[in-house]
Amino acid sequence: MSDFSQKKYVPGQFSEEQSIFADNPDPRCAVVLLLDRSGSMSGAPIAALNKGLKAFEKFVQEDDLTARRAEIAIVSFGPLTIDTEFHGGHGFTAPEMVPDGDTPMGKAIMVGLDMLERRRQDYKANGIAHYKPMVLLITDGAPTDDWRPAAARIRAEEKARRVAFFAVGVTGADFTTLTQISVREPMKLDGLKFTELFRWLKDSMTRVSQSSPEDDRVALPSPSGWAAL
Amino acid sequence: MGAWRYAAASVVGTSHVAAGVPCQDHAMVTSVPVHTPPAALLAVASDGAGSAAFAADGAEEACRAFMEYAGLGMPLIGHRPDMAADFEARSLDDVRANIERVAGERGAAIGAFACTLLGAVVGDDAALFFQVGDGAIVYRIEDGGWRVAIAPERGGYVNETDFVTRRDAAAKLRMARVLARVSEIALVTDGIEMMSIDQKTGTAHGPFFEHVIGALRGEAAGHSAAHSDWLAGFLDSAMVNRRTDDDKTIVVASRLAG
Repeated sequence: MSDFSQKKYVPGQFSEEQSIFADNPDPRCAVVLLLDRSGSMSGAPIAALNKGLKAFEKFVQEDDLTARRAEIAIVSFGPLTIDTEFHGGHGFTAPEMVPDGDTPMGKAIMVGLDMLERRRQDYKANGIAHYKPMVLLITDGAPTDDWRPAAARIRAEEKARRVAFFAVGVTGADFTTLTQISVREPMKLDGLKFTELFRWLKDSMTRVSQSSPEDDRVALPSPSGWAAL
Repeated sequence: MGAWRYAAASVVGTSHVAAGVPCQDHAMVTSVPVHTPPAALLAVASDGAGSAAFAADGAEEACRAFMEYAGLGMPLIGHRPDMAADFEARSLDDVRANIERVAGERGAAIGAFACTLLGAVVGDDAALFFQVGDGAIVYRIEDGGWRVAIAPERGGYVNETDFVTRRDAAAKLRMARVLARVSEIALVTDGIEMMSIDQKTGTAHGPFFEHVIGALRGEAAGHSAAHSDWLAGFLDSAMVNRRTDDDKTIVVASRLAG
């Protein structure tokens, strides 16, 4: 998959301007969404999630730089489906989530991290500069599969600084288990504020220079707009 | 006569504007008398870490401290900055100690002042370049093309870099000595790096630097306010902001022939 040279065509840009600037591919910001669409999400929750996803599509595309940098993949469960392979911001269309089965969260996490690893190898092979990749897991329940390997993998990837993994629990989520899966403290969604959560995600994606590894604090925008205390 | 014309500009990034954050880049450039003419050039630029509470102050303090210590070192260095063996390491220590003192006065940790550092000391027949963190320093010799002084770091994330405030900053310091008569230099912070350095080869994109220094070549010795203004306008232009939302800084200097 070598789509790195594709840029959105903007009429009138082909002028003297083109020769002044080095023609580098845009740095990429890869994000994987792991979305719970188990039976319990039926009704208001899934409707709000879908509305939030549509809003996310809009947020990502509303400024050209973010759209050119963003690469979004979506995995949902259960059953486990890859709804969106990595897609640049301009071509991203939010898929519709339909509530279905159980919650194979462990497997979903492994699949998401595998997709991210392959994308990272693509970047390396093509000399593409990139931001630290992010994974956002959203769930309203507890895993119905063995989540321990996934938890160990997340610990290893965070320690190796290969990914920033965030878990958000909707009302009813098993926070005890989520705390064991995610290295960073899981956050609770205030009601069904998915749109606000996705706004925060967009703002977090291409934030400017972080604290150095020495501090290891992740400088993110405040989640106060969507997180419950 | 070999005297220097120079200009600099720092402009806030569009993402900073959106977040209500001020510009966290800073730059300083000057020429200093040395025991024999012509004067030597000192240039420095610093990019404050977006996540650091006092990043803008850190960047300003880093620049100020560098200029002070590099300036104090000029009688020792003369026109051969490469000759002062431990000057570079001590300069970095001095810069860091200065920031630490300011942090202490504010009751803050040094990390709150995190910033990068790009520095240049250019004598008659030699130049010394310092770098901690991202951004780029480029130079030209006589009729040659633009060269990158210090190879860019590979393999890191674009939103993470080294800072002078780190405990291990000395280990992260990269330097280059050029034993030739450097005629022009440019310093750019990372907002500009992506549009002026070829990422695949790590080489300078000549046309960019020609564009930003061109008019300076017609100026008299000293600081060109007109060119600094022009640089600020360029950095704030749509075509630059189309390519970055980060703070943008350019320092350019050109030696008068003779």
